Amino acid sequence: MNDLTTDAHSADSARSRAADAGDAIHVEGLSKTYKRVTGREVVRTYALRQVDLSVAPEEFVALVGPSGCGKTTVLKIIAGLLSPTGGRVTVSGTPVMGPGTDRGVVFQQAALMPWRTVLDNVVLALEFAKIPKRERRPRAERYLDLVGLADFHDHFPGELSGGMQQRVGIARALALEPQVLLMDEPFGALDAITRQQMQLELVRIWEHERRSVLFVTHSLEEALLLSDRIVVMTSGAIRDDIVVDIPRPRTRQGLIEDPKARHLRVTLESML
Amino acid sequence: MTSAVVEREQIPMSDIVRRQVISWERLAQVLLLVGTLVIWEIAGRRLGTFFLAPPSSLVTAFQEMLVSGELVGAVVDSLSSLFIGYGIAVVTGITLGFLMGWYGPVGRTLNPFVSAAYVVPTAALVPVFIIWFGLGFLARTVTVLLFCVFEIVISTYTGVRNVDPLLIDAARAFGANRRQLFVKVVSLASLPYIFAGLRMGASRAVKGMVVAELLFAVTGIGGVIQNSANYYRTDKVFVLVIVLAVLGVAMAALIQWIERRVTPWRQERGH
Repeated sequence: MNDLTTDAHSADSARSRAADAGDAIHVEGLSKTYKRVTGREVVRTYALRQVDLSVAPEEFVALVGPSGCGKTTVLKIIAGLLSPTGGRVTVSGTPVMGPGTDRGVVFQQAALMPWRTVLDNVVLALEFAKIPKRERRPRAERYLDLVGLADFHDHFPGELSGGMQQRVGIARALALEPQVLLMDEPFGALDAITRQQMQLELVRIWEHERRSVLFVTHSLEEALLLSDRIVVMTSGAIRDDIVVDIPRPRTRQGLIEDPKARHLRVTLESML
Repeated sequence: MTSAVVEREQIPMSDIVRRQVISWERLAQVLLLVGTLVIWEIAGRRLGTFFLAPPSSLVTAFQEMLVSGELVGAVVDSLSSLFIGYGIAVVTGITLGFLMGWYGPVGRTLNPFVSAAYVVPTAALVPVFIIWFGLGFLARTVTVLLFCVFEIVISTYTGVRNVDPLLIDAARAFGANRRQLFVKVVSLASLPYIFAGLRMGASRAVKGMVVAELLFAVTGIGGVIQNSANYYRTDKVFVLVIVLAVLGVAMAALIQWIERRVTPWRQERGH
């Protein structure tokens, strides 16, 4: 729809990547408008305005911004759970028409079926994804082991802590073996200590299972710790796009000591 | 790696007995029960059996009714219309509730009618059912059905509409189609609401049954209550009221047992 308007704001963008079929995720001129009729008025809310974004294969991109800036909306549109008002989304060159198994989604809450055991939750997701029946169980077991839940296959979600539930959510997304992982503040609901453990765990898993990741968060520290690139969003538009050239493995301590990391953090903080 | 720490410890039997049997609340309950019975007994003996039958006379009345076959006949009569009426209500109520919850237009169209039917005092319609269906089994079953069906419809409808949208998003994200979404997610997620409706519906069904029988005054527990009262046999009336209470409690317990069987995960939850 708005394919021709991208030039106008590519100046805002630090990167100058052209529309590229090689991208794992490519978003161009995305907009989302909500229309609400109250009495004799039509109220239009512009949740997203001309959002351009791309994630290269095996790249870890963090999408940061204050709450309400539209970052979750972007993720939901890429996941196919929400349809955009305008713009184009492709995943590995294929236009997104709805939810698909080429994208694994991890939600803010684990979103597990409480009536199914941990293993059955992952198996169910694979059933929805039309994975052949005999492959489901071994695959589910493999990814649950990978996230460190080998001993909890038969537990119900209600018996697990928040952090463990979120591991199931991650295992479920990984078990699809998707090209891209979409993570919507997956650790937002966890306490600080569990959150730190899960961040390290995620880096370990990501290094083991290289995927393209789009990681939505409002924590700058989390973004700096995890990502190759940070895309900053404010009030429905992309504000900046910053490469995080801090060598891995990164530690929380390192982020404090490294002057480059401190500088990045200050730059980011000034934008939000 | 996080792993839960679980420790098990046997509780000595004496502790269980002490906690379960001997407590101030338990003592107060027993005293309250005994006190009520004593006052009832004294009042009954003073006022006369025909006015207020004392508890001691209920045992004899119970035996008398059991031997004459009056009690068994009435209970069988009542239960047949209760179970068939309630059974039909469960099937139609859940089906209609699911249809209304799953198909938005159906729900929005029918909702005002169901809500209106729910608040109509069904008891007032029983005389009309007698005109339509006579004094028999059919009229009583219809009364029971209409007493409880809307409760079940509304609970099921509410249940479907209150399914956590996050669960639906998760299922959709993994590629679930409409049928899978209903069968594997929505229907199960609404079970707690449905069972709440079944429990409340059961108590309304018992009420419906008694109301119908009282108005018909010929059959079932309600019929025998009416007859006994006409002959000033308050002892028999109390026996039947206790039977009704036991019946209601038994039905609630049965539904709760089924609920525990069908939704085991709800007990597994930690606190």
